[in-house]
Order: sequence, then structure tokens, then C-alpha cells
Amino acid sequence: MLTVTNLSIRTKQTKETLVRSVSFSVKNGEALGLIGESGSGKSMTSKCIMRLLNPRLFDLRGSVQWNGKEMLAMKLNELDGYRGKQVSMIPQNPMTAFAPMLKLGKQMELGFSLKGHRERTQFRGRLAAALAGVNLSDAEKIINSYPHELSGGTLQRVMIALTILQRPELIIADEITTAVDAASEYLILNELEKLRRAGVSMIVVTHDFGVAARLCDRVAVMKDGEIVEEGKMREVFSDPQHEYTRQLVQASVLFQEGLC
Amino acid sequence: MLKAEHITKQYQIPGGGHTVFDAVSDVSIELGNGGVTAIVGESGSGKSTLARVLSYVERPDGGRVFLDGLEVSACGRKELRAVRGKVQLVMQNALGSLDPHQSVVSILEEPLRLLFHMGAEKRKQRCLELLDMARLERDTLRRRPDELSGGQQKRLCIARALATQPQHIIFDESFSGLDVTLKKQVLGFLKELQTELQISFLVITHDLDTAMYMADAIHVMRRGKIIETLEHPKSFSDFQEPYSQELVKAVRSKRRALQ
Amino acid sequence: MIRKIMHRPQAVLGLAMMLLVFLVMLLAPVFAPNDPMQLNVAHSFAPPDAQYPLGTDELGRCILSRLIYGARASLSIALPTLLLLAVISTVVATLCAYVGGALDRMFEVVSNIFMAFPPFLVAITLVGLFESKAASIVLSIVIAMWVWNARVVRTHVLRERNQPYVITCRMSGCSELRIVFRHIIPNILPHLLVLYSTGLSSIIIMISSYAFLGLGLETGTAEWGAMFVNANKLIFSHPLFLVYPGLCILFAAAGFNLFGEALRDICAPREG
Repeated sequence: MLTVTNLSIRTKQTKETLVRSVSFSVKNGEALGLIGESGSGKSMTSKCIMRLLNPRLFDLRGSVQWNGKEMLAMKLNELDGYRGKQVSMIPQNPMTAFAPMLKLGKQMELGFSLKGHRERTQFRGRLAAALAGVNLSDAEKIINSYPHELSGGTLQRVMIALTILQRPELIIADEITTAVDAASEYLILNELEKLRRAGVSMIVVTHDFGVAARLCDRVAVMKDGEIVEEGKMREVFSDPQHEYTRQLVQASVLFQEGLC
Repeated sequence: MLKAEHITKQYQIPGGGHTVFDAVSDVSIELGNGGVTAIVGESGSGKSTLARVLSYVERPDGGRVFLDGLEVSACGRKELRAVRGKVQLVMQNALGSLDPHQSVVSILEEPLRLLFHMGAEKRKQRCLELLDMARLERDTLRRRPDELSGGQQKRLCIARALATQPQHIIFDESFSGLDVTLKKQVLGFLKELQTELQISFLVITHDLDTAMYMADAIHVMRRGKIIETLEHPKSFSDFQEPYSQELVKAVRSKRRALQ
Repeated sequence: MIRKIMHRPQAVLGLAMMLLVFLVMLLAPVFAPNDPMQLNVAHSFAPPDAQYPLGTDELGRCILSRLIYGARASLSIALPTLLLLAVISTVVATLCAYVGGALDRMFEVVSNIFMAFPPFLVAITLVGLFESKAASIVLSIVIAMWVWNARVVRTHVLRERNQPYVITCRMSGCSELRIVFRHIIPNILPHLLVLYSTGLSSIIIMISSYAFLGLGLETGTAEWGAMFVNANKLIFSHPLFLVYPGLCILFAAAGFNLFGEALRDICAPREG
């Protein structure tokens, strides 16, 4: 479905290599975890798949194939049918992902090019259902709120509801729980798990093995722009081969229950 | 011993006229000498406000703060400066909490000169001791904070706090935002430091895992109030309050997936 | 900092222009071929020659020498003005912004009142009050401009005062005075340099425009603004008389401005 081959990303100005020949693939209905810490290149890789990197600033090599089509060579008008429709990205910080001066309902409509009053009412209905699906029952209140009036966790769930409405085949979740509270994280992961069960493919970008474990079949561990280890989630966690993966696994659980 | 009684702190809601909300309302907490206490709460629970009141950076609107029997919440500026060194606050943003134009050595020497009136020779020696204590290389002395790595910045903040010879150090979300491997390193180092120096630590965090790993006693805070206190918790199951259990559920769901 | 300046053509150019102006001012007697005040009516409106490189004016005075001494006249007023301006606005604004509360609100009111006075009106009023025209020029510029500078300083102090490092300093045992002078002011110093170096160029222009309005120094002083005004009468017969002082004002003002703006660009990325 999505195949990334020998992807390298370099900044044009400083000639610094941020991602070095990274290859992986995501099959239909599969979820891949991209695990790494800051500076590992995991977010860069996911932005590149969304074609969000400015070609004047970054030098891209390698290929990203989406159902056999070369993504990196796509024209801008072709991208419209791909971005947001077939592949969607949920960004890390929901606060900055929404326009601050528009009510949420209004700005969510903008993404769906609705025509006429009837389509708009229909959309509102579907939106309310999607919001209810992510445990936000008071759709009316959310539609009439400005982003700053809601908490980060709520906004992130609104973002997920929006993604569900877009019905993408692949969702890229970029550190989506880093900016939210633990209780919200739990709810958000539950929502994504539901989508997984419905057969949506995912790339889960995270530094947290726990988040990856909730959602992913396979993981790729990234360090300094390279994939150092790849394999089935459970195997990588229980029997890490690379020294760095081992450190990461050890640091991911601090308090060992029952050992105290 | 640091003791707070019935602390209340209010903030005006921006743009809300004269409406105020209680960031902290009627919180009492006692920190003994030595030991690690944790306060767990999510953003907006008032835990950072409480940290500022406890380290007498801010005055409470109601209630009193005592340090070894001295009521610091009623002290004037001069008296306060005399006990400044006893309670130290280490903030989340390590780089932002260091003066960008000062070098490492002047950051460390400032409290030595102002609080202990040490001479140049003695200061220099103490600086090196502090660097060793915080496991920082000696050649970092001449550098500026922004030239250090994230881990080194954190250690420098801790070294500066140690320079004042405190009885209490309050860590306000000092470890969130650190990479996981680095966080584990810093937490491990702090545990060793605590056993070695017998200073009392107060760890303020949103992460139940960090709290359980570090602390002997845990307070759960929500909406400005302490809703549950556990002494020597052995397992996540010790939490009784519904809100605490929600936090536990969040940690456990990830744990279970990993097993 | 110095290395960054050297890497920026704009800054180097501005610095060079500034230094040239200072050099001319300090060494005016060395550079000037003639005495700028020497009258020689018989020799008026002489074309440029070896002795008078730019010719002479209507009273037979050497134009080049007058321009060179003009740098002295302009800067000898501009620099004290700047110094006074910088000290007053920095001290007042820092104090008000750092202490905050009622003092800051009072500053707000006072500064609004001062902002309502146009500088030229102040100058006209003051000219009658003082013996010395130089003093009235300096004072009127300071009165007219200090609020504008103070407001900028205040914004910087307000931002800096809320930085977490201020709390850290307090915990290290710093007194409030020490926090202001050893921590806050050094951190906003680059911004102040920018502010005051661009300020100098507006002061130079203001002094010249005072002369234009007849509020300048004693008549006959070799000063750019005064020369500019004099040349006004001769605009059709000798248009170059107008161009020479105009170019000097432009050169000096542009030098300080270029340097100040370049400094601003160098200082700005620190926040980003």
C-alpha cells in the first residue's frame, strides 16, 4: 500500500542529512510504529510522506510509493486527491492545528467543499455522529466553540473525528498524545484502536513504546535519521537486538509494579 | 521542615473582568527533612502554582507557609532573602530558567557569593565540587547555557540549586519534555543524589509512572485540591479515588499492551 | 557579536559610515583646507579650485571646510542629546516596568501626555526660555523623544521580567536591584543599542530641521541644517549649495540607521 524506499532527507542550506536511506512499507490494514526520540528523523519522515516538506529547503532522495504511484513526483493538483482523502495526518499539537479565530464547526466545514444548505445540514449530522464516536456527546457546544475554549485532549479528539469523516485509507499519527493529559491519552488511544479494528492502516509516530503497543503490529526504531531495528512489536520489545532499542525499552517503564 | 496550611491562590481570568478562579484552594501539605514526595496532577490542576507558593516565589492569597517554624508567607523581602537558599525550585524549562548571558561559572558562583559570601578561591573550588556532584564535565565552566545539551542544562539547574545548600528542592515538571532515555538517566542520578545528601525532594509531575518511581509519598491533585494522599504506595492498585483510578487506567492500558 | 557584525555587509557599511563621520568630526581642523568662518566677500561664489575644492558661498567662505566643521556642530549637539535621552528613558522605563502596578500605570498616563506634544512646539517654547540655543535644542529633543524610547525599553523589560530566569536569580539570593542591573539590563542591551543607534540618526535630522525653521544655532554657524536653509535662496543660481549639506545629513543619518537596523537583524533570531 505504502512503500518507502531509500528515503533520504537533507537540508539544502546546511547540507545536513536528517534522514538517511530509510525503507519500510505499510500493508493494507496494518499499523506501523515509528519509534524514536527527538532528532531521530521520525517526524521528518512522516511529513515527507504527506509531502509537507518545502522542496526549496529540503533535498529529497529515494521513493515513496502509494498504491504503485510515486508520491514524491506527484503534481500539486494530483496531491489534492491524495492528501486528506487517502492519507491523513493528525498533528502533534492540536492547539496550533486549528485556526484560532474561527469557530470549530465553521472551519471543519471548509475542508469538505460543501455546496448549498442541504449538504451543510447533512454534514453537521455526520459531524455530530463522528464526535459522538470519539466520546464527545455535546456536538453543538463544540461546533460553536473557538479552539482556545477547549482542552488539548478534546481538540485532539475533534481532530480524530475530523479524520474519521475524511475516511482515509492511511492515518499518520504524529506524537498525538504528547501534548495531552494522561486521561485524555487513554481516550484518544481507545478511539484510534477502534479505527484500527475497522481496518484503517496507520503509521504511529511516537517516542513511547506503550503507545505503539496499543496500536501497532510492527515497529521500526529510528535513531539519528536511520532505522536501527525493525520487527514485530512484541518481539522488538521483549527481545531488542540493537543497544539503543534496549535502552529505550528499559526507559519506557520506570516503576515496576510488585518489585518495590 | 516545610509546611503549608490551607493555601489558597487565585488568578484573574484574562478578559473576564473581575472573575477569579482558585488555582489552589485550601491545600495543606507537609514536607519532612529528607525523603521524596510527589504531587501528581494534570495541566491546570494548580500544581505549578502550589510549587511557586511553597518555594515562596509567590505569596498565597490565603493560608500560611512555614519553614522550620518561621512563617515565610509573612516575611518581608529582607528576611525572605536570608532563607532564600533553603528551598529551591527547579523549573520545567531548563534553558529559560538560566540567564542567557551568564556563563556556567557565574551562574554557579552567584549564590555562593550572595548567600555565603565566599572568597574567590573558595568559590572556585566549590564550583568544581558542584560540577562533580551534578556529573558535569569541568570544561563546561566557561560555556554558556545554550551551548550545553538538554541533559547538561538540566544538570546545571540542579547544580545551581545545590549551590545554595538547600533543605528542600522542588522539581516542577522538570523532567517532562526530556527524551525518555535521558529522563531515566536524570531520574536515576537524582535518586542517588537524594540518598547521598539527604535533601528533601518534592517532585511535581503529570506522570504517574515518574511519581511512583521516585516518591515515598504521593499526593494526587485536581482542580486546585489534593484529592488523595498515599504513603509508601506499593502498586497502582493502592489508589482509591475515581480520578486517580482514571490516571491508573491510562498507565495500565499501555502496560498491558506491552506484556 | 563582533564576528556576526563583520559577516554582514550592511552592518560593516553602516559602521564604516559612522566611523567616517566621527573621524571627520574629531579631525575637522586637519581635514578642512580653510577656516570655515573666514569671510572673503571679494571671492564670493568662486568655482571649485585647488584652494577651495567645492568653491565658496555667497560670503566667500570655503564650502568644504564648512561641511567638515558641520559634522562637529551636528554631532556635538546630537551626542549629548542621545546620552541624556538614553539615560532618562532607560532608567525611568526600567524602573516603572520592573516595579509594575501603580507606578507602571502612572508611567502610562505620563507618557501619553508627553506623546501629545509635537517636538517642534516644545522647541519653539523653549527657545524663548533659554539663553543658549544649544541647550534649548537638546532639551526640546529629549522632552519630545524620551517617551518613544521609554516605551520601547518598557516593552523589553516587561518581557524579560517574566522570564523564568528571573525567578532563578531570586532563588540564588539576588536583590531586586541586582536582578535589574546585572541580569535584565545586560540581556536587553543589544536591543537598547539598536534603539539608540537608530535614534541618533533621527536626532541629527531633527537638529537640521530646527535650523530650517529658524530655531537652530546662532546664525552663521557652520552647521548642515543652517547651510541647507541658506542655500534655499540660491536654489536656482547655485543648486549644488543645497545638495552638499543635504548629502551630508543623508550620509550621517543613513550610516547610523544602517548600522542600527543591521544590529536589529543580528539580535532578532535569538528569540526564534
